[in-house]
Amino acid sequence: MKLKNRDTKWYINLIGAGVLLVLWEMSFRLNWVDPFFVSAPSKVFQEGSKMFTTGKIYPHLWVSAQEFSLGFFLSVTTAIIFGLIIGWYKKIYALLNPIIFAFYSVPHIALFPLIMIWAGLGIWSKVLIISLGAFFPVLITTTQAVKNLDADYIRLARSFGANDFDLFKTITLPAAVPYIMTGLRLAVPRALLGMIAGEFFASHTGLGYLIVNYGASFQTSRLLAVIFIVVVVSITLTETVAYAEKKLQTWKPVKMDS
Amino acid sequence: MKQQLVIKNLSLSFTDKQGGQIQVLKKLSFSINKGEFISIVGPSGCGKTSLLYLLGGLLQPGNGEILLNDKQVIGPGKDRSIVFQDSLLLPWRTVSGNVSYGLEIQKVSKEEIKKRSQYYIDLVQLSGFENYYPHQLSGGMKQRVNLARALCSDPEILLLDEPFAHLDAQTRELMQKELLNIYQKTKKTFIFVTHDIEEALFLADRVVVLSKRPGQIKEVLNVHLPRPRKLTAKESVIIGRLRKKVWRLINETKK
Repeated sequence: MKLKNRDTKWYINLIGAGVLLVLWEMSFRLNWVDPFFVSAPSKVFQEGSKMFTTGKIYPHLWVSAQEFSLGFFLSVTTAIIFGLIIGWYKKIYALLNPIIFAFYSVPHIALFPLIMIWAGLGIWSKVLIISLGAFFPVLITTTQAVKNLDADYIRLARSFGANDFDLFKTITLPAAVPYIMTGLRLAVPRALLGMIAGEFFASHTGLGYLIVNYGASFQTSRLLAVIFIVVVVSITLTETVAYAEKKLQTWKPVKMDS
Repeated sequence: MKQQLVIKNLSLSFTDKQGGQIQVLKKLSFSINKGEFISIVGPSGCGKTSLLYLLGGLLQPGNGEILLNDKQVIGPGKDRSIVFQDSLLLPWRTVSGNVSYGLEIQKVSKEEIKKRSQYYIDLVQLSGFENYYPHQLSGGMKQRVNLARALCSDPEILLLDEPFAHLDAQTRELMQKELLNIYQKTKKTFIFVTHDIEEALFLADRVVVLSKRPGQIKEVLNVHLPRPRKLTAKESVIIGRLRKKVWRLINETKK
């Protein structure tokens, strides 16, 4: 598939989206459907830019950004540390693997009411649900990285007299980096989902709150404008991680798919 | 000549999955002089690599002992380096990063690392490739890095585990010749494990022939060929005669 796509020109990517936008705008202008339900790209753009010119959007963006960065940072650092430990010690892995698997299988949003009981309506309930979403992909990929570590590399390090710390620093951690990056890429959408859902139910600010609020008051154009912002944020984050993933594994000849 | 490495009654066995004992090496005894080039040949599965790992301190013998300069070997040490099979380069490190790996582990100062790794990169003729990653190198170049990495920590003894086994015939011959150049420049003790009889004879002062599992020493043969040796030495009468002898010894064990 990749081979086939290699020769496509960049503008082909845009044609699909362009056609869709034109059809959408036409359906509005020609009254094919009730604008109340679908609005139009021009109106969405208008409302969207108004949010920025009036500055109405900024407090919401700021709160969401705070929640996201805090939650993501917390979960990723702990997931990497735990993943390295769990992957290294076979007994700990055997002990915890079923629990991790169970937690990963539960749609993490299902736990949000519980988190609300624990953390209340403030920023921390959102930070926690974001953390919960991002934690497991990174934990699992890091664990796998350590478990898949080539025994020959360990032998090499030991032959030079490496102690456990040397081994960790020069073999385990660098070998895990590509796996960790894959985990991060998988974690971004889960964390965003947690953020939006958390703000749906327990917030007076944030992008998720805006979506619910505009929905409840039938302001379709504004609702879609916020969703568009979320899409842009999501793509930016995912692409940033994907870029870092590529940069950090220049040594890896084949890209890891997952 | 002083005996640098003495192996006494060395035995090794593994426990298999059913809990049975598999004897890999049985009562090996021989000694190696400082600066000698020793080849160890034997049929596959005879425990050649295990023997090398024992010497490297990566495995512990079941019985017997290894004495290095009169001291018992109990683990890996700066005095020995292993040249691994399949090069085993760290893919996230460049050529110079790989060459200096052992020195970093041994906490050598940065300037010293730089100086020494450059010296050995030059020695294996990889100057100009310092910043290349392993996946950008050919098989032969990878083995040069592997060799430089082992030499860089300046061991007394170099333990080589079939380093040229997976190279094409031409590259292998080139590497054999260069290995001899390096051997003569560094004056270290080389212990070279291989299943290629001709390679073993061409390189070594003495060839240790192992039997099939459990590996025992069938015979130790002297190769009386002057150094420096040229590749044409492979066609010499001495090597021809010895090759037949080793063949016979190995085939005897296969019965």
